[in-house]
Amino acid sequence: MLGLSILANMILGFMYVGQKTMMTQAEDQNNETKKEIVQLKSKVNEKDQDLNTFQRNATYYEIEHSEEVKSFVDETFRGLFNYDNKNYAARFDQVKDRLAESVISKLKASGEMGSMEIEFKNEVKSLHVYLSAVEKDQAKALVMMETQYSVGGSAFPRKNQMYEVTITLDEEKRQVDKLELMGSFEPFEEN
Amino acid sequence: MSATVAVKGTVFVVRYWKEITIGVVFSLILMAGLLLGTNSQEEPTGYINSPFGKANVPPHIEQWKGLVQEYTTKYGIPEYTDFLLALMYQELGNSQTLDIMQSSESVGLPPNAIQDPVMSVNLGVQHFKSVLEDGQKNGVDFPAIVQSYNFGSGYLSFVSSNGKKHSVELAQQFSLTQTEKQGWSCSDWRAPYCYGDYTYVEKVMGNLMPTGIAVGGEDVSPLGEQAFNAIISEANKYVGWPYVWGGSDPHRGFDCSGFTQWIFAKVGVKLPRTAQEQYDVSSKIPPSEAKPGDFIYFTGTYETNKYITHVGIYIGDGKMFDSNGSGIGIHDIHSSYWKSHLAGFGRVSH
Repeated sequence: MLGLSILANMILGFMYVGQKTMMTQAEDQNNETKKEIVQLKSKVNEKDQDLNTFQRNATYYEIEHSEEVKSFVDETFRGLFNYDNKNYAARFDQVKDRLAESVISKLKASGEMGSMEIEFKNEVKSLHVYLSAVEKDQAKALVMMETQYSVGGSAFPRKNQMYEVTITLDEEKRQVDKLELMGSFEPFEEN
Repeated sequence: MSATVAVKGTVFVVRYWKEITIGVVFSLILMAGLLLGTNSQEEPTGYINSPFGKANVPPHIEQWKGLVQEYTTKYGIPEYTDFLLALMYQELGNSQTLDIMQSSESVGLPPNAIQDPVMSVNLGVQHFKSVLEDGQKNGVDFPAIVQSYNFGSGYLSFVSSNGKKHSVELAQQFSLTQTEKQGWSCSDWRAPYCYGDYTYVEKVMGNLMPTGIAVGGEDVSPLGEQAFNAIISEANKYVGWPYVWGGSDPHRGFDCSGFTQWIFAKVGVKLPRTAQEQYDVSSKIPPSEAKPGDFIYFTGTYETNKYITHVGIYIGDGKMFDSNGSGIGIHDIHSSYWKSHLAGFGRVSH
């Protein structure tokens, strides 16, 4: 009877040890799986970020290489800076949808716009637009423009100016909402 | 019964028709008078937007002009002397207090705690200057600055974010918000706008005579005759040229400050580029002291957060030489447009 009891206890002991070993292995496996899940999640986040960065870069790239946005800035500037006696005041009407009210208000002179008797003309001789994206719906453009001004039939030497503009990029409407003259300069290569 | 009353009434009317007619007409005139009187008290109309004009104040206010001028000159804002007298009259009325600029509260004291006119004016002018500078920083028009004297500085940022120009509607809107915040109620003419006095600007500016700008005489320019002639001679070269935004030389044309910068450079005066910067470096002078060759500054002529938006060269006789929408040339500063945007006069040393 005693022998039988010892045998049964030994069998139970072996079974316990076996189960314990199996549990430990299962726990280890579980922990390993958890680690793998965490690593996978981290990789997913990483890939997500990569995807976002890629998408943002793609959008930025699209903005910065957008011929449409460049054309928009080019046409707006030509509309504003190609003028003579005839369209001096009326040119603002032609570009009013392209400019924020604050920008138009700044460009128009103080006081009432009148017609000038003296003959004058401003011509855009060359214009280059360099775009950089600020947000998905906002871009900045650096505009390098060469103009020639003439008054009373006498033309002055050509002048170079640099402007910085901010453009809001709505799907339906693009608009220049900030315009700043960065300066007038003389290109220099050799003395 | 009713027939008897009607007959008696008719007989009464026929007998006393003259007296009744006189009574009715008198009552109508009285009612119209009361109505007009009430309206003029509630919403006075017809005032100038510019702080420059002659103070239309009674002798007990006028007597302080010398003292006020002493301190406006000391703090570099002599051009606001008459305006401050107009403000003083609105604040004081016929009160005999010696806190003549009601300065006690601006330094945290109870009303009328200061009983020394010199101290009151000293503190009052300093307080006004700080309000003026706050207003200029916020890019609001002058009436907004005046209203903030009554509403507090919160009104400046309120106007700044609501179009930068004071209007009675904006003042009512601000007053209503503050009234609700404070949980106030009132039953006088202001109701429901119980916070402050939304007609304050009209009342103060109503104490300034809207009779044009009392500018100085045709005296010799402070720049000297030779320099002034050189300026006019250079400016004359560009008469009829159009305004060109961003232009500061003949090769591109001129905007207002580009024009003054170019012209003054010809007599050796180096000016900064923008109208605001030129205002900042010039000594401010009252309109009555403006002489040919001084600068005349304007505000609110376009949307910006800068206070000064246009500059011209004052040439005497109420005229300025400037570059504006009608081109470069001589323009009348008394026109309603320029008068309503006038910010002041300044002088640079030669």
